Amino acid sequence: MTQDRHLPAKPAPAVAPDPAPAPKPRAARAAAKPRSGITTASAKPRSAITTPAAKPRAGGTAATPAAKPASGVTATPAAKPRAGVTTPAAKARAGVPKPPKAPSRPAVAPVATLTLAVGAHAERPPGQAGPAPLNGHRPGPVTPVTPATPVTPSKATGRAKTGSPALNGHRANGSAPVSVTPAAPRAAVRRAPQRPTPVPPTPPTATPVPATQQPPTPVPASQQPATPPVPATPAVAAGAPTAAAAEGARAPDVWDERVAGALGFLRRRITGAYEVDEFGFDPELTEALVHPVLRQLYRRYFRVDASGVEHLPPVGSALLVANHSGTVPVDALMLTMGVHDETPLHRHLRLLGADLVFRLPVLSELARKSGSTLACNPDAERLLRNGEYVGVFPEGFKGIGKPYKDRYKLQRFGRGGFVSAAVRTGTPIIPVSIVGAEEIYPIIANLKPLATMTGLPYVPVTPTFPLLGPLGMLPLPSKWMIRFGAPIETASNTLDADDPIVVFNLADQVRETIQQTLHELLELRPDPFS
Amino acid sequence: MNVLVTGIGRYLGAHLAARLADHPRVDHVIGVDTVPPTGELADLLADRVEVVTADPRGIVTAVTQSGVEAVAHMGVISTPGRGGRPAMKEHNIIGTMQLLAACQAAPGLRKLVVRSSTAAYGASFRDPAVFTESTAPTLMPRGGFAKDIIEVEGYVRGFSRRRADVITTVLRLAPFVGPAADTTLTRYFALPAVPTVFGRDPRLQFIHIDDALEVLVRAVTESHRGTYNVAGPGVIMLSQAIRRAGRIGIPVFEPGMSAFAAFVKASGIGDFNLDQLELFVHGRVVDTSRLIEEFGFRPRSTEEAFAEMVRGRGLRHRGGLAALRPEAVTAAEAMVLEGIRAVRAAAGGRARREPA
Repeated sequence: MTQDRHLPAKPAPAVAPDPAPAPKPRAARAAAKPRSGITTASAKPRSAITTPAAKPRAGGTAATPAAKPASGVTATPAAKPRAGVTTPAAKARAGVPKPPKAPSRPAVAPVATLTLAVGAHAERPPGQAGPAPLNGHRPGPVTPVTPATPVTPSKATGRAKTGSPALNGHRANGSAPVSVTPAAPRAAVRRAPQRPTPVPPTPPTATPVPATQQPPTPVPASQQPATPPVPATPAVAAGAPTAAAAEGARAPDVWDERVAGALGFLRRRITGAYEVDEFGFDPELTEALVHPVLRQLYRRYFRVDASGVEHLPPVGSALLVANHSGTVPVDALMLTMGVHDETPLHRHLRLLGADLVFRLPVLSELARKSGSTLACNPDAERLLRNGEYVGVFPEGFKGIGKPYKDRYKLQRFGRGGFVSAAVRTGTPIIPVSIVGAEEIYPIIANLKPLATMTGLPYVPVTPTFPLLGPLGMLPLPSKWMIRFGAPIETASNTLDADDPIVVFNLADQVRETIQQTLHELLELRPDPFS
Repeated sequence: MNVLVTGIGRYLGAHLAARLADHPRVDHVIGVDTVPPTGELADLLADRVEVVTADPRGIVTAVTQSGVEAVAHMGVISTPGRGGRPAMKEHNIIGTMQLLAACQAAPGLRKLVVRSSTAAYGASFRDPAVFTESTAPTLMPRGGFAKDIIEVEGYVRGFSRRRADVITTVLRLAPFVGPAADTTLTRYFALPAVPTVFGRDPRLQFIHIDDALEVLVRAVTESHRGTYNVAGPGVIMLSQAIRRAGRIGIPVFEPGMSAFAAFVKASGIGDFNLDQLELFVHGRVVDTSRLIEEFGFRPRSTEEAFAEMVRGRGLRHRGGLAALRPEAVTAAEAMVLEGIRAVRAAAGGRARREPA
């Protein structure tokens, strides 16, 4: 809440209304942007949110409600920050909505800002929205442009003074920044982040500049307070009274963004407005609900050290073949987490799971939604042809259910179906060695009769499991290491997927590589629970 | 070209016959069925299609004596009618056998188009995620319709071996949806609370009824030998479909599902049988690339088809919970967001004042 502390000072300067008549157009434009299909990274979250609010209030702007869901904008929101371009800075800015200064009428303030955005947007000529990908923020360089589309200051100020931002029509582009009411600065701020992206129509040259700049300007909160008077970017300054700008810069409101993101997520879940692929993979759900849990396990609990990620092709398909252990396939989950978090493009690993998973209710649903599919050649090949990373554990139950005394001894690799899938699609095989999973539930015995009765592949007895009841289901916090090995190329004409010799040789090669790497990793790990 | 269409007593057959009658390359359409078309369907066919109502033997005569060049077999029914399952089986299996026998004896026949269903793939947890035309069902399906379909396809394969000169096309259609179509499935999504299977969220695919008809017409008027999946590309999860229709899903445990189905049927709320049950446990998705490539036609995606159905039947605004309509949800979202902002603003204001 450092930002809050500064606030009191700000309002005053804010009052100085029209220091920058010129800037307004910008603000307006910026606000407009999100709506135009081109949502920039920063604009997205906001736009999604703003519209609904604006709609009911604004009344006049009929287009909004219907338009909103329809126009692509809705889908985007904050939920997938990873998606792309958004630099952290961008995100932070986007979040700007900070607590309004005037507690007395909090409700009004947000409304005002929202409506403003709508009004402004209405005016903007359609053509202008630039692709403005990244960004934005620091529109600084661009500023000079603004004058081109000036808004009469008088008009703007007048409006501002009337004071009831909420109601009115802020159709005038720039009224927002100027308004005297406490809401105003906020509005300006909010808009500010968006602004940079679409460079105003006039100066095409300007556009490139902001883009380049942004990366360096990481909007750090700390930085902003330092330079309040000199609002970080001229654009910002222009858009709003300096104080407001400074505040905006300083106050990336993370929580507001989170709340808005969560609500947007909830809305999409309730209305079914999300996409799944033909395997039933629901990336939004996975990233929003599954990954946060796994990430804690990955970073805090098992303290996974991943190495060799550079062996994964940045784009295109790869078949990750790993050793399997641990009684419960936690290693598969950690591998997906590792692949997602460690690869630069945050790619998803599509696991191939055993029949058992898909036979059981709930589990089958979860598995599909988080990107798994049945381990069979048609599915594997289809995923590989689609350019996905596919993860497979050829040891299957033999690996995962082996007794503790056999730890880190690779089991037989089945029929090598994974090799033929890789060869048929010309996909490189990445041998992956996972150390640590063996110790999470050390199996000391297997209750075979019970397993036969229930149809499960094994019923493990671990030092803690039946003994401590549910508490025994807590995995032991072993230290994990995952190493991605050098790819084994299969895209060669000399390989024949239907030749059993080829298949077995390749499978052996992969198996040997994993086994050796396991030994190396074990040497590196001082003790299992270090 | 003279075309004979079976199953004109039902929606699909009647509409196909009508479309064919309007097609420039088709001279004459004979429509046959064991029951006459009624109501709208009769109006649709009036003056355009020669309607023959007969028992299976009569249909045989129609085929052999009318000198048709193409037969479109739409007469495989998916839900038991008044005669129950035995009558349905009789109709589907014996009817098809008789028809194929007649076709074999018709020297002038050049084309046979058979309406099949993606139910031919069965549904099991051991199936690949996406079926291509060459995938065989891993387990024999339990549903009557699926069994019939598999058997019918078997007879058709036999026929195509014996009459290699006839271009035989088998179209495996996904469940239809459409603004006007009234099927088991559309009725299902119109229920205020939609029963689902606990712990399962199947992937579904639909075909827009107009696209299905378009594909059928092309199959009859053009030449496409072989088996094709006919479905809207893309996938929709059952839970997603229910939400998009503004409904609520009521999970029912799988073991109790059959009893539940019987109850629903008995109480007249709706009817669904083992075919749907299997679909709702495991889902079914097919690969449509062969269709798109060969027919040069891309059906509306599953999502679009479903959205049209929801719009066309007004599902969003009829039945279901008003609170689940998108406008309501959006408004609620905005309200909560504003509320939270207001509260935080108030809290923030307090925090600010204290240090001062």
